Amino acid sequence: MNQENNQRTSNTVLVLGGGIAGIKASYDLAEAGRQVYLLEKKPALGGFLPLLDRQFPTNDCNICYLSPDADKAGGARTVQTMPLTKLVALEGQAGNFTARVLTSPRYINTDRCNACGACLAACPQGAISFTPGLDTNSPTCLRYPQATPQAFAINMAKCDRCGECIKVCAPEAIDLDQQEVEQSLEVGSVVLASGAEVWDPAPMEEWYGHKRFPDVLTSLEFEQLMSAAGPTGGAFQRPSDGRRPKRIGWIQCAGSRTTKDGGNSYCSSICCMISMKEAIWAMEHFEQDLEATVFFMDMRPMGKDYELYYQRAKNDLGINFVRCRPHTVDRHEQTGDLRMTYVDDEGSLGEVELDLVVLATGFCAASDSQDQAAALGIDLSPYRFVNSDEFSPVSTSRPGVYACGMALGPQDIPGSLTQASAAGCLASADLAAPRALRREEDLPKERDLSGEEPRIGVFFVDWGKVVQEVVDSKAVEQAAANMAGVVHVETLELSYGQSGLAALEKAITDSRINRVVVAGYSPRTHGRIFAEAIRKAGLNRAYLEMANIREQDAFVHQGDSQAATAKAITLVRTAVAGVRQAKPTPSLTLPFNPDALVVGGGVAGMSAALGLAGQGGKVYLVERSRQLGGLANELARTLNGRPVAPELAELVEQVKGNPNIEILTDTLVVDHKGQVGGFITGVQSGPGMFYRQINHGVTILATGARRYEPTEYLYGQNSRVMTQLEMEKLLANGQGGDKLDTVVMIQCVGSRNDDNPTCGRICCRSAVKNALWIKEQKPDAQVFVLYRDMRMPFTSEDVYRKAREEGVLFVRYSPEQPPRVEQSGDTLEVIFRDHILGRDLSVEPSALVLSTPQIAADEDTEELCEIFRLQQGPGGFLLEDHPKVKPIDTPAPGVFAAGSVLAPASLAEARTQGLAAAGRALTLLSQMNLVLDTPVAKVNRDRCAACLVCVRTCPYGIPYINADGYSEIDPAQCLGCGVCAAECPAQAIQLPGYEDERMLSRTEALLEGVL
Amino acid sequence: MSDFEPVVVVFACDYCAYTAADVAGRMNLSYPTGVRILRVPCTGKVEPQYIMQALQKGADGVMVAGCLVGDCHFKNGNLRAAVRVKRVQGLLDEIGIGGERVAMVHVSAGQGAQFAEAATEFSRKIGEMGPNPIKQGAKAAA
Repeated sequence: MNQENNQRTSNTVLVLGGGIAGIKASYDLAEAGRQVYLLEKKPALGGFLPLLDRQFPTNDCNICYLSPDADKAGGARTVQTMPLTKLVALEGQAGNFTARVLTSPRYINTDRCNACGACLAACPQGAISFTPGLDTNSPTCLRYPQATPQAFAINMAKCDRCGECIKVCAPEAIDLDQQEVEQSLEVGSVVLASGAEVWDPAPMEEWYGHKRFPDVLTSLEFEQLMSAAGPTGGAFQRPSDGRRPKRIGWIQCAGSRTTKDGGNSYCSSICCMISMKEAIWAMEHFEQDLEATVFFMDMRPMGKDYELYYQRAKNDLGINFVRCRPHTVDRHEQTGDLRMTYVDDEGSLGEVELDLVVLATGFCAASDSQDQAAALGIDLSPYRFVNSDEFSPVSTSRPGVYACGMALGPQDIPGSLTQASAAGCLASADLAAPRALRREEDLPKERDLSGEEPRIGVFFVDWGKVVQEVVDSKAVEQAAANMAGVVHVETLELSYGQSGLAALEKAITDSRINRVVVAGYSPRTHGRIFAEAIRKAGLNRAYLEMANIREQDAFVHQGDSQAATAKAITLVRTAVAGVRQAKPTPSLTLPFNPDALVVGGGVAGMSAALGLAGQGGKVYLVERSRQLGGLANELARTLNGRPVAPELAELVEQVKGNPNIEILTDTLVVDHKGQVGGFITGVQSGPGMFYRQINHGVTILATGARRYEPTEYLYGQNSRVMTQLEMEKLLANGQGGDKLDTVVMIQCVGSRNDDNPTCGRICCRSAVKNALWIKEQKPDAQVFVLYRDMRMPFTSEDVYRKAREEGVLFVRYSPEQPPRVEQSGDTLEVIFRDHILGRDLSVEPSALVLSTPQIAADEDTEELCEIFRLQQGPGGFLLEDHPKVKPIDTPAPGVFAAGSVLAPASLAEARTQGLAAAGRALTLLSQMNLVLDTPVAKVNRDRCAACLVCVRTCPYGIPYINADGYSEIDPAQCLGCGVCAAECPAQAIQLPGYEDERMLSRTEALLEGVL
Repeated sequence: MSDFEPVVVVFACDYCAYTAADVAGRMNLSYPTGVRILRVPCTGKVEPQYIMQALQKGADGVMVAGCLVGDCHFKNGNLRAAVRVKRVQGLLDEIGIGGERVAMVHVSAGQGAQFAEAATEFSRKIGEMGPNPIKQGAKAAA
């Protein structure tokens, strides 16, 4: 970020790793007008995600949500995917790197391969593999229709060059003589997203019997067993004897939180959630007949609202949770069942019979992480993950190189995506100022078709061998030529490369074609490409319809040529009937205001402002109090003992010194209107409540949370009772930390209870931090931490271990038997039960410290939600667009959120989310104009009776009754689902492309000759 | 009746079912040739009249195929569709065409096999029911 402007000439970022973090970073950057090289070691993109059947906490298949984004950015064609490629060396400096990369041979030319599968069937050695998610033999279904590239690869280690595959490959895509290729790429910055690996439980085989017993699986193996597309085809059977397991046990922390058996001492952070997801899945399917038990040390559902997921699993779904230390798994010789022994919470030995054991194996650094770090010239942590710190959580030791996802350590999908957007923001700052994307003025003017009869061109594109064999193309072409309105029929021989599209464009011009049918591909995969092609030829993108001859005809009716040919004619006829009635979709061009409004001047808000400054227009940073810094002003040091004040001061200085940021302290947001690209927000400043309006294109909300004021445990009544923040202040000011003889800390005060069912997320870390600090100031002080679950993710587990080594006593309490605090005269007494000793203990502490959470700033957040038309989730925090795949976006286009307004956040999280919000905002700010051309619902005001049905049915609350008394739908906000059009009793609303008459024409054409 | 091959119109949502049908193709699965798919942005766009028109024009069955419950790309369009399908089924029962000629199914984008299976199963069921009675009416009129 410190580069001089004149050095920032590159517009290209190198992204290493094609898992979801790398994909997210790439597509964010592409949408922001950047060029990206996306390198992936494997033959195809995807990372872990395609291996997962479903994902917590929504338990859906979320790729369906991710892929439209990928699709959209893919249309920009600015991401160059380079599979089977790794980085060899990185030379130069931020803004001006040269990356040397090495591509291994695939032996299949991806430009030609049409993924027909003939080679897979022909290969006698099984050397041919499909891209993840597409392989019918793979543990996944096609969860990712845009899987890139859609092509096969040959494993030369298995191939004996028999040539069978070459004989059957119609597009002549196979080249067994391909060599590896080394090349140099000029890039301005690098985003490392190379992920992690699943820890191999082999060192624990003696204890847990993985590999020794077929019914002991890892989480990922269990995931495959659950998958409908998995090895058992969705039948839920245990591997040893095919019986459906009725007693399943999950063993947590297999290889994590341990210094033994080659395990990792850190916490893998997400395994608790993964096991719960798997248990919930199993329970939901076999509730009547299943006993699901999770054997754990501490349950650590760490993400936003994950605690609620845990409560649901425990209380509503009847999953058993047994707190213990698992010891060994044995197999009964006769029955084949498994027996697990463990040491329970009270120190006694337990034993349980199970049909299936799932090891919640954690994640470890990728085996090649050291090679990659050497090539990049960056430092790694002792665990071989990328070394970063709380204040620069996505930066590496080398300027211009950023990291995200599991390369930084184990984490969940929302965390990875957030870091990806943050890394993308910083990577973008090292580049030249962005070029505006897809400007309408670059395209020829749209032809005016008024008064023209439909002149339809039908183009048969890329039928490939399978289609040719099944469908009689001559018959279809002849039939098409005779359809009403068809003036031109042409077969484009070439695969959809630029030349094929050029032929299409030429035919449109030469034959004065005004409507186009493309017969061959699915509109899902190729609609956008052909829409852009006809637009280039001067036609509105809406004058296109596609007949899906490949996937929905030839491929599925291979045994019946005659019927498939007839159906192909029907599909072409339907497309012709539909396109005949096509009307142009006006593209709505709005000037895009490049300025941004950031509400909230804490760490998240300041990070967002700095992320944007210099990359778009001006940034208005609005803060309600007099000073910047937010809750971080009250923090003295981080968990690792680093002072916060100097770092915070530097952040404030950077913000104040940035010419692109206008700071408005003592300022409140009072009103807000407009849409993305053209927001107008009213603010009031200073004691005089001076009102002004700010015009801006995007909004970032980072208004933070507030501290919970405890009413429990004599807080406010006894001077020795304080919160962790107050203790921290006491320790920082040297106000008698050395006089603390005995300190008791109580966790989960004001959280994980009926009033506030969510977890405070960071209070455990605050307690450990302060406990260690007390020990530092007075080593012989006795410190008790009374806890329910110690939630210390990733390497904070090491600090937890250190605290135990330093003599801090951690004593668990159950919510049914919470600690009691009594005061009589001058004495304060804490009574709590020690589970191991099995009796009550009494301590008279010199300080009683309550670990209280940050809670939603209820009224403020409520007001904010009202002003910005957003919603609050559980606990009153701001509801994001999607908890898994859009954790930083809000449902309102152009409005993003960061920091503890979303959920209690650590410093590193606030920093990351602020940068991520800026990164997300950049995807919009790069546009000169906002061009909207997707079909949106249109109201016929003459028919509208203002009955409010549309207002009530719209899933996004977009229609409203305007001053003239009829329904109005903002085309800038409508997402085009058509629900309002379907429900409107007066049929006053139509969705272009799906108008009632057009649907009828299609139906008629589809059923022609049936009656 | 054994050589009766029913014609089934499928209204498939763009985000899930239509994609699942594409996947079925890529997996080289098969389903009866009488299954004909129309793409809609969301099953929430499928109006009762679309279903009625398809039957009126001679379809023997209509399948509305949307996202899995809880997974609708547009929040709840698939649930609205399911309610409408129920309503149409009631109407069809009343007029003697048979509510079972219309079905709502839910598949995710990746569930090609489930799509093919649902399409096959529904066709089989319609095959057992015999042709849409409207057809006989049309033939008699001709």
